[in-house]
Amino acid sequence: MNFTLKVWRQSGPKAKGRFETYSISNISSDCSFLEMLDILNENLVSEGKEPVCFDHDCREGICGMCSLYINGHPHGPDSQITTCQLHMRKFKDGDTIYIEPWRSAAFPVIKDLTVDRQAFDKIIQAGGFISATTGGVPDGNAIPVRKKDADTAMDAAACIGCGACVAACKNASAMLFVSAKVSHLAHLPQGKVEAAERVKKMIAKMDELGFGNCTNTGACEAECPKGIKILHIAKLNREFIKASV
Amino acid sequence: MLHFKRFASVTQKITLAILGSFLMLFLLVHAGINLCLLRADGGEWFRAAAHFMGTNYIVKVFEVVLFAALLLHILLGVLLQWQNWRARPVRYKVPSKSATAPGSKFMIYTGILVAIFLVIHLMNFYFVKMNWVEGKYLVEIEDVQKADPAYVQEHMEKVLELFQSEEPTGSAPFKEVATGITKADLIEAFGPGFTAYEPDFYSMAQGLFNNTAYLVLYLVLILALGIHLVHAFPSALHTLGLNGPCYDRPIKCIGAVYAVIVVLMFWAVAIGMNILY
Repeated sequence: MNFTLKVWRQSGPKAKGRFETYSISNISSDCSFLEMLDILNENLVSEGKEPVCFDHDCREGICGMCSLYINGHPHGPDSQITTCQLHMRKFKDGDTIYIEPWRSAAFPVIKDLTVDRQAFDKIIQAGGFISATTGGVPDGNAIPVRKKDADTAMDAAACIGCGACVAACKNASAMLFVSAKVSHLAHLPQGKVEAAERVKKMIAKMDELGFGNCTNTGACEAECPKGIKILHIAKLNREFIKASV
Repeated sequence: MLHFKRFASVTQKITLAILGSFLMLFLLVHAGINLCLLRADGGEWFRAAAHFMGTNYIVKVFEVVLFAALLLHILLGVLLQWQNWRARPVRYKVPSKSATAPGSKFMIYTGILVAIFLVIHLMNFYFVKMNWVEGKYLVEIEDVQKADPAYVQEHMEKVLELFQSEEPTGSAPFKEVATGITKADLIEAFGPGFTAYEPDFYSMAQGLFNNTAYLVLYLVLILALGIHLVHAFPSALHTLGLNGPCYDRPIKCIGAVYAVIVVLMFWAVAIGMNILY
């Protein structure tokens, strides 16, 4: 397969970026999107050019490190996958593919397609944890949890913090990420203790870092590689109201 | 702006949702009253409803609440949108292709259209009531005695003309209420000091809806309101945390049905007035 790639190149955080056009040929349809970029980089290196900088790590869809806004979709046109799980057979031979970094005031570009997602770490540090005391391991059945709550908490815990929700949102809002973390802990007995404090602190941090506001469009839910539902945002709002009144 | 930043984003959104919910209730009341326009009684029911809404003290309190809610809803909506635009200073080259809830991406734009409609609407009707712009007026026959008797005597011919019944040969040669009077006629018949008149919203609506250009503008702007409303109801409930796995689909359906009903009610009245009266 042959493709024309329009890749965002930016030499540093302060530098002015632009789209660079590359032609790439002889790509297997079973090649993953990141492997295709690896081939592009090998070609660029052999030509003595600077390779394209992009984030990746586990390459099996669980670490949340890869990003890329591909032809108007975070993580590409397929649903419920990360970019590393995207295959070139999802494209047509001869396609032009635009590859852009996540765009958000809170995610500044470091280089090319790599963005700084430390804002998410800061939100977690503001309250996305439980203050557990050390001691002996309690018996697994000592704290009963309703099956429904355990399932919902597990669904929320599937969030890998990749930032696709922010990238997809027309407001660059981080509400799906924050709501997944808040909802995950608020559904479990260990998390309920600090629920009120947590939701207020995490929202305050999210606002401070310059993320936009949620307008319930549902773009985040459509693009989330882990299929996190925006109903968690309703839960976050509920938790916030409970914490405020 | 910095002052408002002290409120959490979710607090601003919840306020916006509560105000929006109040406005959605108001729309139903307004559309209901408008339906009276379609009754073939020469505007009797509608004028009675307009008279009640214009004079009742509880309604007057709600009028203040309504204007406050409208202003704050607009202010907060614009403020939140401004923050949202600032959250993505560099836009994407390829516009988003993500699936979104119907109407949800255009709330600020449909909101601006509704605000434009509101200005036109207030100028046409509310400002007449406030005596800021000129409209059409009505005078009840028993209120004629509140005018200066000498002046009325002098201009009796004009007064009789205003109260002339459409069927002068019938049992009642005069109408109970003289309607559709212009300001100039009002002054000519009852003198400059006369205040016992009311705005005649029926005649003004009749005049406007029979103007094709205005009718088209009205229908288009009401459609914009409808698109705003499709997302309004489910979004407001979501922001208020009143949504869950079992309610999500019914809430979206109710929101869509509500929007369609409101649009159809306003459209029916506008088109009906144009064709029938």
